[in-house]
Parts: sequence; structure tokens; C-alpha cells
Amino acid sequence: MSEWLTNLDRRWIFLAMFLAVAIPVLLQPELPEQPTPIVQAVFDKIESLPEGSTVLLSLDYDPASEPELGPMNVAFTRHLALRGHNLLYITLWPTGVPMIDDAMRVLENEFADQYTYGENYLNLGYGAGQEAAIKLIATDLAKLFGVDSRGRPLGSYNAARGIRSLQDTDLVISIGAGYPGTKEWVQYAGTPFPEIQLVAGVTGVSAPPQYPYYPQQLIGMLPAIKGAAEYEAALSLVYGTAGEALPELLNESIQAMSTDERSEDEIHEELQSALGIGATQLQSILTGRINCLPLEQISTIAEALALDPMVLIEAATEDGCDYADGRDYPDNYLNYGRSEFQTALRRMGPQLSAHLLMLALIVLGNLIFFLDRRKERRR
Amino acid sequence: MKTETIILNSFLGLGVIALALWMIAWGQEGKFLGAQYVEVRDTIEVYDSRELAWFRTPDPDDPEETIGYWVERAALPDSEPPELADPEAGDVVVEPADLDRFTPARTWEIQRGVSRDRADEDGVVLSLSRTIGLWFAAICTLFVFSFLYRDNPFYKFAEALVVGVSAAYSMVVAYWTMVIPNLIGKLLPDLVQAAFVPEHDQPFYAPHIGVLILSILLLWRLSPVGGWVARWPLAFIIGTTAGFRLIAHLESDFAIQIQATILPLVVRDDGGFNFWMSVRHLVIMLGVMAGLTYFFFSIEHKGFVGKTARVGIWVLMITFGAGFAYTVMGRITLLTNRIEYLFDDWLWLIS
Amino acid sequence: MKRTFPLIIAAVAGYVMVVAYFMPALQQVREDAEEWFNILAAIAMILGGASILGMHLRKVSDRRAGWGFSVVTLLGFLVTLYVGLFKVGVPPMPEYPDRAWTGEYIAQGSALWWSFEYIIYPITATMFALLAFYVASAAFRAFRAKNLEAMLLLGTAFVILLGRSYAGTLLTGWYAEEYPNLTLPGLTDMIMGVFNTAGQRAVMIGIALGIAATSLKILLGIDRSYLGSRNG
Repeated sequence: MSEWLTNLDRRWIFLAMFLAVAIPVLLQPELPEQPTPIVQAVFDKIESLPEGSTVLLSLDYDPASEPELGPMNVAFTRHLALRGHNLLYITLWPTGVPMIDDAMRVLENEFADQYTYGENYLNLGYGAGQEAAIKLIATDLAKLFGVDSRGRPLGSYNAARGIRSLQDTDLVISIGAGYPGTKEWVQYAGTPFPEIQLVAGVTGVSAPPQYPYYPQQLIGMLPAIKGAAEYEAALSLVYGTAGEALPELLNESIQAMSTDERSEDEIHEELQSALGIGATQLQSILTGRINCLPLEQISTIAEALALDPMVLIEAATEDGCDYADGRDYPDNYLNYGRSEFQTALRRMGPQLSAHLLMLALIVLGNLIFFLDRRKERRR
Repeated sequence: MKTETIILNSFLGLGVIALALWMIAWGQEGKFLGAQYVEVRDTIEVYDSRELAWFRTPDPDDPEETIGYWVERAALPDSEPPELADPEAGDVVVEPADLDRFTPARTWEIQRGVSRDRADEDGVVLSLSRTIGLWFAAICTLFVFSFLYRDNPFYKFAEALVVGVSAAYSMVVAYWTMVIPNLIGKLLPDLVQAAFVPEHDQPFYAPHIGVLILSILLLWRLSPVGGWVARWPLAFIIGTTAGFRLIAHLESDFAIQIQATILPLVVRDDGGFNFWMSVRHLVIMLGVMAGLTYFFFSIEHKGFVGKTARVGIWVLMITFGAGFAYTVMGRITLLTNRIEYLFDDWLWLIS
Repeated sequence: MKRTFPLIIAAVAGYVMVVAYFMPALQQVREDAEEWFNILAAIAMILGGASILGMHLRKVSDRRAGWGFSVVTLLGFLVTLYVGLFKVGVPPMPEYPDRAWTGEYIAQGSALWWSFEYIIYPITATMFALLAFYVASAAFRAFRAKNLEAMLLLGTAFVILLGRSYAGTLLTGWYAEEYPNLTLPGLTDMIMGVFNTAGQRAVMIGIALGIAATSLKILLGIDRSYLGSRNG
């Protein structure tokens, strides 16, 4: 046995690693996360910015780091858009250009009603020159990004109005995988210009070397996929409701109302026309994908289903929506507590099993080593 | 034949059969495995320039904006270039409703990808190019994974392909984002405005002739003779880098790091003396100093210095252990992503 | 001309950067130099691509071992360059439908976008994903707790691998209320915030001094290695 293990073909280890990752990918276990202080600091910083602040995101990574950093990009974009901030996207890596598209897709698909290109967000594309690029835009943005990715001057957009340099932004988010990345943002933007506020999201490989910058030079940081998962957890605590009370109530009412003459599908269609929405959006409401409906929609639904609006509001409140102080939600308020919005949290399942496999391999390797050594000594 | 080869070939065979059966199963539902769907968000119609000319004029409602018209060539006076035609003057402007009279020379669809569960919705269509792309990407992914078995031509093919494509990709990005708007755009602004960036607003900037010369000298490296002239732009790059790195490292990674290490050793908060915080500060301070002592090679590591340097090694070992653990995390995430891609995007194994 | 002039260029460019840091009046000169730098960085990318092209062309013309793969590289290179420079599949700007080359060079659905999405992304990401397998193999073969230093390294890796996954909460969550700092996640935070910070800071200070020294050597003309060999 020991002989076999000593000369183990490494392809068996490869197979074990494949299974350790593949099985949880298929089973999709949901593991809870708690934000650690370094991640919570980033979340709190974005929460504290007044609505309409301008935030610049630098997506400095390539496909080799996208699995770790892509979820951060998406989570930041959602959070910033939920808070109503203006977003400027740049990248210092040529391979980062398509990463900006990932953020654009989130804004186009989830925030189409509130966010328009040019009015609230801009894609400024790639800037060459590594740290010299950061140095230049720290004092003059237009000298490097004279036009956006669509070929129009920055001055023609409201999203960049009044932003002459990085110093005019309210926050800079560096999502970086290496050189140039977070280190250069700290060295050439955050440190020499104290008015430039900096937070970061970094890969596992580059996370430990950035710790000395926290908290003096970096307000907070998302280290590796775990940081991204914690951020998604923080986002779902504030912008996601775990409850299913409202969707359950709605589905029950529809079921109760349906008769032989009036099928559930017909009631769905009636609801769609009353609310002025499509089938996909209604489906989203009935599955809890969209939650915290605006009060106007709640009263329309209540009328269509012959319910007391207060009952619906109570159910929504039970789910975690807060209608106190007359707070009203935009009409496509997505439930960010749902796992479809939590790529990083989903990737923590394979992390668990693969980490355990790694530890087992280390222990096993050492066990064999010490057993062999003892045998040799005896001889 | 070796046992391993037989096992591998049987696995491959089983895999192909399973894939075929899975494809047939989806085919029963009228779906093609790995299909990519798009919805058309917008269309841009381009007309034959001999029939219609595009004309832009200031928007009467918003002086900062301009609006565009298609102008009928045939209705224009021969002597007048279309830019000078006054759309207000006659009936040369083709109203959008009348555009049907003309056949577009080309129609562009602005498509956006949508998830497969929306495949049956109105306006969502199968995208052939994206579906082929997804299959190609999945096969290339398997080619790369095949390296785990042993080095083979499939892996080498994927590697060779990505080297070529990435090199050209970087060149294209550099050309369209830097060379055109920031170099040519400041030397020949009219050309750039006419051909590539219609709203380019940068004027001619004479000092950029200097960087044009340096750029040519840098590219001169490719020529068989006189390659040494590339040393000039290279010297500029090296000198500038040295200049700003000197300052940045001394400020951010030296001075401020020392400042950040000078921490209060007795931490007091609302409740009085905070023991754990004080210990934390003490350990950071001693850790940094021990680590630096280890790097200090001008003194022999003996006696007190030797003992401190040894503590420094311990601190560094803990640091490297942390680095190793985080690296493992990163690599596993990459593998997770690739397996998600194969299982979800390609094979639809996850709902 | 071959050696002295580049030395002067490097020194002047470097000193401008240093002095401009202390003298805001030089901001314009500094920004110009940075703009030049950025443009030259882009030109260097073009140069890099061109030299890859040259290298593989030579390999094919010499029929060196594996030249067939160089043909694949060349084809990939030339096709991508063509579709990228000529914006194949890129719609024009909606405001200027008559100008074919005004659209986004990497618009969704264009040929360049396709080559990124379906060639560069999957192959690069998978190549790095292979490292997950090799790191597992290395963990089994190379990590031996032979002495105190190795034990510290392994012990830290152990705590962090557990503490940065759900295993940490599972194993030590039951006493998190009483002793939050002694749970595996708590210990991980402590290692990262204290020992890792101290160790990385020591490394950082060392590197900063090293870079400052090499930069000074270049500015003073002591380090001339970037000029290449004498007879070049």
C-alpha cells in the first residue's frame, strides 16, 4: 500500500481534484457567508456615498482571473446602481475590454429603467501605459480617455460632467489581477492624492501582498473569491429578501381564483395587462425573483385578485421589504438574495471540497514520508 | 496496447456516446445542445451612397445635439455636394416612412445574448455564430485539459492558436484605442474625424510630432539595419519609468509603510485598556522589524541579530503559507469556472 | 550618438518626473511625457505582435520542429489582425450609418469579439485552471513538515484553507459566540491582518529600497544594461 502510494501516478490526484470540484458544481450546495471587516469596509464605503456620486471602476484583469474577479465586477456594479451612483469603467489591460461588457450587460438587463448609457454610466475602454496611465488620469482624465468606447467625446455625456480627473471622482474601485493593478492604483493614485478614495478587489495570488495597504491606503478590499462571496452575502443582507411569503400568497390567490372558465393562464394574462408588464416579468414576481414591488403595483395586483392591499404589504414586509417612512421601490427591484445573483457564493461549494482534498493530500504525503523515514532508520 | 490506453480510449468512447445520447434527448424537445440565443435590440440600415446620402444638422430643439437625415441624391442639384443641401429647403429629405422605397445596402442587427430559458420567447432567435463559437470553445477547453493526460497535438494546437490570436488582439486594441484617437487624432485630426471618430474634438497638437518620431524609431527595431535607433524611445521609457517608480516606491511602499508600523503599543478605547489590540500592534511592529533584519545582509546573522533574523524567517514562513493558501483558492476558482462552463453552458447539466 | 544620447534622454525624462512631483508648475511637461509614454506603450504592443509574427515566420520557413503549429499561430494572428483592423462585423455608429469604420471595434457579435469570447477566453482560462491540478500534485509530493519553518508554512496554509472555506465555520462555529478570535475564520483574519501584514510589509519595504536604488542608478547613468551590448 505504502509502496503504491509513494509511486502514485499523479493522474489519480488529478482525477480526485476534478471530482472534488465537479461534484459540488453539479450539486450546487448553498453555503452561508459572513462578511469579514475588510470586505464590510468596502460595502459600508459604497453605502455611505451620497446618491449620484461618481465612481470609477478599473477592471484590470484577463480571462485567467475572470472567474475570481468577474463576480466582484458584477456585484459592485449592482450595488452601485442600486445606490444610484454614476459609473465610469476603464481598463488598463487590453484583455480587460470585454470585462467592461459584463458590467454593461448587468446595467442593460437589470437596471434598464433607471440607467441609461451616457446619462448614468460610461465605458471608457482601454488605456495603455500601465502606471503612467494612472498617473496621467490622476490629473487629467481626457488626455487618455478623450473619447468613450463609442467614439464620442467625454464632454458630451452627463455621466462624466464635472469630472476632469480622478480627483473629482468620489470613489475609485480597482479590480486587479496583477501588473498593473491594485498596487499601482495605491502607489500612483491613492497615496499621492489623498482626495482619491480607493477600494479594491484582488485575486487570491495578489491578495496577501496588498494587506499592508489596509486600512491606511486602501479603505477595504475583497480578497479572492471568498471576498467576492462575502460581498454578495453583504449585498443580499441589504438588497435581498429571503422570504417567499409574497410569492406564495400571490400563487395561492391565483390558484384559488381559477375556475373551469377562467384558467390560471388567463389570470396571469389579466395581471400582465393590468400591470402593463410582460410574461417574463410576471413570472419573476411570482417566483420571488423580483420582490418589494412598488406600492402602485401592489394596489393594482390587490384589485385584480380582489385582495386587501394591506395583506400584500404585510406579506412583503415579512419577506424583508421595508415600506416604512413611505419608502417605495423601483418597479424591477430584483431580489439579490437569490442564488442566480450569487456566482461567487456558488463557487464556495467547490472551494470547500477542494480545500479538504488539498489538506488530505498534504497529510497523506507527510504520513508516507515519515513512515518511509522510520522504515529507513530501522534498517 | 497498454492498459492505460485502453482505459482512456474506453472513457473517450463512453463520453462520446453519452454526449450523443444527451444531444438526442434534447433534440426530442426541439433544442440543440449548447445552443446560444439572442434577441435583436435594434437595427441600423445603411443605404447605397449613390442613392441616398446621410446628412447631419443641428437639432432645433437642442443646439448641442445634431440629428441625421437620409437625403435623396437624385433630388439634389448636380452642382451641389450633399453636405451643402438644405434639408429645410426642399423635399430632398427622405422621411423615415418613405425609406421603404429604397433597399438597404446592408442591415445591421444589434443583438444581445439571452439565457436559454428565454429561448421560446418572441423575438428571441438562435444565433448560429455564437453556437458554433460555444462548441469550438468547449472543444478547445477539452483540448487544453487533455494535457493532464500527457502532452499531445490537441493541446499544442490550442496553445499555438491562442498565442497568435492574443498577439493580434493586443495589437488591434492598441491600434484602435491609442494610436488612432491619441496619436493620429492629435496629428491629423481631420482624417480621424472623417474616417473613424466623427465627433473627435481634439485639435492638432504639435508636440506630438516628437512621439510620432519616437514611435517610428521604436518600430525601426524590426528593420534589419540600424536597429540601434530604437534605443532612443527605449531610453525615454526606461528613464520615465525610473523617475516615477523612484518617487512612488519611496512614498507608498517605504515612508508610509514605516509610518503605518509606528502603532500605539498601549491601546485605550471606551472600555479602558484593550489588551488584544495592544498585542496585535506589538506583534506587527516586532514582525516587520524581524523580517527586515532577516533581509539585512550587511551584518552577519549571529547573536542577537541572528536570533531576530530567525524570528524574521518564521514571520516570512507564515506569510508564505498564507500566500500558498490564497493561491490554491485562486486556482480552484479557475477550475470551477471551466467546469461550470462545460457542464452548464455547453452540456446543460445544471438547470 | 549610439550610447550617449540615450543616456541623456533617460536622465532628462527621469529627472522631469522626479522634479515635477515637487513642482506643480511642471504639470504640463509631466503630463506630456506621460502621454508620450502611454502612446509608446501601445506602440510596444504592436512591436511585440510583429516580433511574434517574425519569429513564427522564420520557424515555418526553416521547417523547424513543430512548424505546423507555427502555421496555426500565424493563421490565428493574421485572421484576427484582419478582422480587428478592418472591423469585420462591426456595425457603424447609429448616428453615422454612412461611415463604415465608426463603430466599436469590439462590438458584441463582431468577429474580434467572437475570437476573444470563444478562443482567447476559454483557452487562457483553462490553461490557468490546469494549475489547480498541479498544485494538488505538489501538495502531495513536495510539502513535508521537515523542520519548524516548514511546519509554520504548512500550519498557516492549513488554518487558512479551513478558515477561508465553510469548513472553518463548521468545525469551530460552535464556540464563535464566546471566543470569536479563536475560531478558524477568526485565526485566519488574525494571520492575514497581523503576521501576513508584517511579513509582506517587510518584503515591501525591501523591494521599495531595491527599486529606488535601481531607478537612481538609471538616472545617474550607472546602470546602462538597457542599452544592450557595446557592439550592438
